[in-house]
Amino acid sequence: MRKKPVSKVEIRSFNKPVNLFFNVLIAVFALSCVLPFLFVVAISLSNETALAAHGYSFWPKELSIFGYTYLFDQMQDKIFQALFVTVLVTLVGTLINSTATSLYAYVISRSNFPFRRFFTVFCLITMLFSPGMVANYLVMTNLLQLKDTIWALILPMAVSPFNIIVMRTFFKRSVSESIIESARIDGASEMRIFIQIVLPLAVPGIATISLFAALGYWNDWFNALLYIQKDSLVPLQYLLMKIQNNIQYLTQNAGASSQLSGGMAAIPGESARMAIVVISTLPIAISYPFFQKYFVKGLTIGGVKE
Amino acid sequence: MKTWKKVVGLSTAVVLLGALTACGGGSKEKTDGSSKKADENTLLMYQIGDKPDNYDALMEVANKRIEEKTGAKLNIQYIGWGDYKKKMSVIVSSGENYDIAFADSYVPNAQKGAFADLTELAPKFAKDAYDQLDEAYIKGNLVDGKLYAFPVNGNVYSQQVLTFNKQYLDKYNLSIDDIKTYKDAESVLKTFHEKEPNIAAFAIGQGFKAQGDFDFPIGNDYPFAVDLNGDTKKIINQYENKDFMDVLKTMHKWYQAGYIPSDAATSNTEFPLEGNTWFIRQETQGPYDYGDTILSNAAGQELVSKAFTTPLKSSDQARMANFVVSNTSKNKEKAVEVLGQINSDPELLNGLVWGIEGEAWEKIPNKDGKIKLLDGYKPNTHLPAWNTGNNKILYTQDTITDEMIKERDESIAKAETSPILGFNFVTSNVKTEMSNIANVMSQYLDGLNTGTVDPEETVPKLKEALDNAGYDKVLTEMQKQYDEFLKK
Repeated sequence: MRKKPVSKVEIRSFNKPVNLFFNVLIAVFALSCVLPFLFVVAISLSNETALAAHGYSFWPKELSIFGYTYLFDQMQDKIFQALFVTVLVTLVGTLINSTATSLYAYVISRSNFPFRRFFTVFCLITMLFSPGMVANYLVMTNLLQLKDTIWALILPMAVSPFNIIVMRTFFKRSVSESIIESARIDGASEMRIFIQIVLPLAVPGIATISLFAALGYWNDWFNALLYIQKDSLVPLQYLLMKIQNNIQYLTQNAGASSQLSGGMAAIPGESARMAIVVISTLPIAISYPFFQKYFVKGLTIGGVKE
Repeated sequence: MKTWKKVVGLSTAVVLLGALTACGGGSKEKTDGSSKKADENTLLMYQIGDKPDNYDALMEVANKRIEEKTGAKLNIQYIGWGDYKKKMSVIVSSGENYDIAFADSYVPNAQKGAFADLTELAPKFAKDAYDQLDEAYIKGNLVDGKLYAFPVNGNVYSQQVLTFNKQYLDKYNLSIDDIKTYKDAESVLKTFHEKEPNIAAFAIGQGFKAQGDFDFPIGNDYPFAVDLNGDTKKIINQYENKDFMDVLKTMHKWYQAGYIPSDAATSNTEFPLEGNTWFIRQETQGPYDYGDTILSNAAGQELVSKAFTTPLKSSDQARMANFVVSNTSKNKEKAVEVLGQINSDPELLNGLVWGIEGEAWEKIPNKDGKIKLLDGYKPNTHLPAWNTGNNKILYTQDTITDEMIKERDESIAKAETSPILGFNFVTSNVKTEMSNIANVMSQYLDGLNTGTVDPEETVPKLKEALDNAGYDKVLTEMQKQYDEFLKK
């Protein structure tokens, strides 16, 4: 009798109905993530008057790229300036964040580092106790004098304690003590060990925390709200926030609108606002797939405890 | 290691850092440069709103004038409408050093001691402007008997109006002559809704408050009111008042009939004044609106309004736009002097509110205080009148006749003064109950006011929830404080 070739191992898989159930479940979940964004795209491509008359719909009643042309004509300077600030802050910030985080995490992951415990607790404390907004504001404006500088957007998020803890576990799991030992025997310095041996082994982890950092920087508007006055330093998300807040203020103070409208800049229509959302979300959404291959590895190993 | 990778990595880092220092460094030099001088004669002022597009040009003219008269300069920093509250609370509680600000959370901050006491400073250093203020302004801005703000002399009284889109009135030949209450508007709403079912007949959204003849000690978000047509010595719950119940019932009826947008309780949809997406809206008008003149100007189309409440000088109006001097300011006297200057110097104020003379407007020869707008008068190239300075010294467009000005002054003299003008409720004894009540109200406010829910079913529920939240305790405390206030 000839042996049958094994085409699939089915030991660990679900049986068909269960499999189908979970597939549907995940599909629904995935759709619920994607649909709102598609909806936004649809609104941004709709005709303003059609929107007012018929409300929102997935299939624009009348296609129009007015939202986008409005942005390019009316808000061109603001939008591109803000986009530049956001990109700059994200790039530099991610660079600083991932460098600082992995350096800190590496040091406290090494068992022969004498102040390991102190620095771990030091980092944990900042994670557990928050000093509050006012204290942050005082440090940033009075102590560091960073108000209205680009550093006010970068430095508050330059080190994230949570990522440090994730990376510390990651280093411990993926870089064994013995490989560091053997490198030292071969005569490598600490710096060389870190750069040439530890870092290449930790790429998935670093890629993961870099994505976290990049997302954080890209989406941040609160630091801009607190520290930025100058128009030239306003990031994209804050610009969007500002428009949204203005609209809310205007509708909530409807009674005073004749007086307010004297000083309120023209508010872009619905489709233009959605166009800003698309422009501000798309770049970071596109960067996702490039990090994805590291994702599973980076997160699970970082999350497992010894 | 591949060398090219290193080279690329390093050079990007260098380029980025270069760009960064270019951005950061440049700005730093500037702020450093001005802040050194700032200690001496530049006053930092926080203002609500959008920075005008021609800010530099406007301020250059203004600062020349201010410096000539007072020896100081003004540096106005704009904070967006929606962000102002959040940002000012951080600035105030961090004790940051600023000089003048558009007041935010005026009473609590004044009680905390965040603002400088102007009771003596204002009449001394801003005498001219101080003397022009209506008495109601001073009384309405007193906190524990002291004045902490310099109010902008503008709409000292206000009344609620229903504003109609004239184009639709003409199109469907509708008459609004008899409208004196919400209810009277029902027939025009009905006709309009039949003709144009897709346009919001009564254009309201989240945050809308149905109005009656009430004044509110702590704002109309809370169920504490004084009935101006009833016993003005008593504080009542307006949701227990019969007249107000009728108003709420009317709202509910309108909602069911589809005159009110079905998502009104949650919607932030904006109905632009200049647009045609609405038929009736609710507005607040005062003497300096000259009837519908200002509103129609802002809309760029003709609008007509019908008042449905009595004109009232209230604390809200007195504090509509008031400027405070920070207690942390090193130049309090100078700051008051500059505020006085803005509120008493026609040349300075008109240059800010109308824009640059000769570019945006020009004086009409032989006519005192009348101006003509030029092509250079564009939105966002001037400051709004209501939160900049004394409206009395503003030049007026030639469309506003002397008669209208006379009417304005008479109407101010005639307007009623609210019995609770200047009354500030001290909440320290009932903090917990207050936040409970705020929670309850946030649950019911929008639903009731926009007519989304039936008041006959919901108001009893609201009352019960208020009782559980400790309404009576707050009411007793407020009545006690109010009695004391009335004795004075």
